[in-house]
Amino acid sequence: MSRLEDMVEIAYPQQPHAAVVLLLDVSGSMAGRPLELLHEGLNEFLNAIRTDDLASKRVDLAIVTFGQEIQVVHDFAPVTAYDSLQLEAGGPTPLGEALELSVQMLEARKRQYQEEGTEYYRPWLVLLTDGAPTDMRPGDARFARVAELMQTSIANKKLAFFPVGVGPEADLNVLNQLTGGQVEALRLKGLNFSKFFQWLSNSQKQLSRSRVGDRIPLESPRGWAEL
Amino acid sequence: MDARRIIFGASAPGLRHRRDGDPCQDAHRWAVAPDGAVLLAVADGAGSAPRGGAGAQLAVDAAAEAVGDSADPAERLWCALRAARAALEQAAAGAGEPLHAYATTLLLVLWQQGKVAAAHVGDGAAVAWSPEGGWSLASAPGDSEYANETDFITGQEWEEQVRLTRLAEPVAFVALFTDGLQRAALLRRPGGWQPFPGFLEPIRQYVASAPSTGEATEALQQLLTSAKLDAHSDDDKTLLLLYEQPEP
Repeated sequence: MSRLEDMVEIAYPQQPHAAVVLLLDVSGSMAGRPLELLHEGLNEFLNAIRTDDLASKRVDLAIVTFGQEIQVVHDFAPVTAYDSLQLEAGGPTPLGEALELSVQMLEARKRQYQEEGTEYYRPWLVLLTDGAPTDMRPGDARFARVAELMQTSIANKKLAFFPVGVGPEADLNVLNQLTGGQVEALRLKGLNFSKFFQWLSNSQKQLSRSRVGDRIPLESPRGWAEL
Repeated sequence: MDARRIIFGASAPGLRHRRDGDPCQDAHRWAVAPDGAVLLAVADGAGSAPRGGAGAQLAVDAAAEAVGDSADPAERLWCALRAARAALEQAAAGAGEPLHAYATTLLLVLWQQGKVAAAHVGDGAAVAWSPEGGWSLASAPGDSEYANETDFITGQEWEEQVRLTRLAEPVAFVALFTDGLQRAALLRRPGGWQPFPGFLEPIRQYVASAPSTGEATEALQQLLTSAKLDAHSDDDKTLLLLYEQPEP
């Protein structure tokens, strides 16, 4: 008699997806050592996800940079599709527009999952910035619009937002105003990108392993953040 | 003459739990009431809850033991749900632990001579089949946008999260399953979820010709821990089936 295993078909053989946008500040002030360390950390992150059984199938990563221009360095793809990345630093800090683009990308990706019948986790938007936005400031119309977008996205569980300041010039106050205090922005210890990306890959591995109903307990950011 | 009725089920730990030597956090149970009605129960204990597995077992045991004898299926199902909730509250209080430590989903199906009613908190699903109508959905997974979020019977607003459904036409086959099989056995369509015959039909046909419940249970257990399903999802998986063969 043939086994049931050989007879059944699976409705959705594909893995549930965890969309992540890494939004990276590559403004002029990141040039030199900070950008080098960011690169190293990023490559360690890609390796860590690549070598993880489940995370490599489930993490759907896009990388967006903002500086001289806002650039989708890599659109959504499994990390196995990534080669090593070359980032260049220069220009101002157009954070407002970059955040708007990132939220749009995540929403469009979710619609695509829905159309394909792919299940998905709540997507992550991870921001690393070393300054204050140059395309908006508290009080102006764009700031109000971006703050409204971030606050409703977080409150309606459209995404999980992880804002991280790099270096002493990063304006955590502005980041906290953007989220209305729903999320506390953290400051990287020195230039410890490596520890940060380790935390991020561990978190993504945990998320990929989480079962229905799990609210995943994330590792403490103590290793990389000034707390 | 009684029609031939078989009921059997299996709960199997997912690959990760087997690898780590952890127990299965799903549970299933059924009970036949004095009036011949059958209560079928499956539960999926939350992985994030320290006693999720115990919660799932307590919930299905208490529900099955409270099958009752009311003529109203909704009243019976509510009675079983309340019994499950009370058992969890009692266990938590007894152990000095918070109720959410026992977080679990719960799906109940009451079968009365082919008539099916379901009560459901959280994900997982129940599907049914009849010779005339084919496959239908008896209870859909709870609405949650994301793959890792759902409701639990231990929640504060659990009574508002209970979904009661009743099938209008009698059926010959019912299958209840937990979330670990959801993406194998259901299709998501613009109008909602639908049973996926590609997965369900071979199982139904197998059950219809199964030589004994012992052998069928063994075959089900093997399916749930097969390489095909392991590769598909590393969740714990439960399938509970009732089949009533037409009288010859």
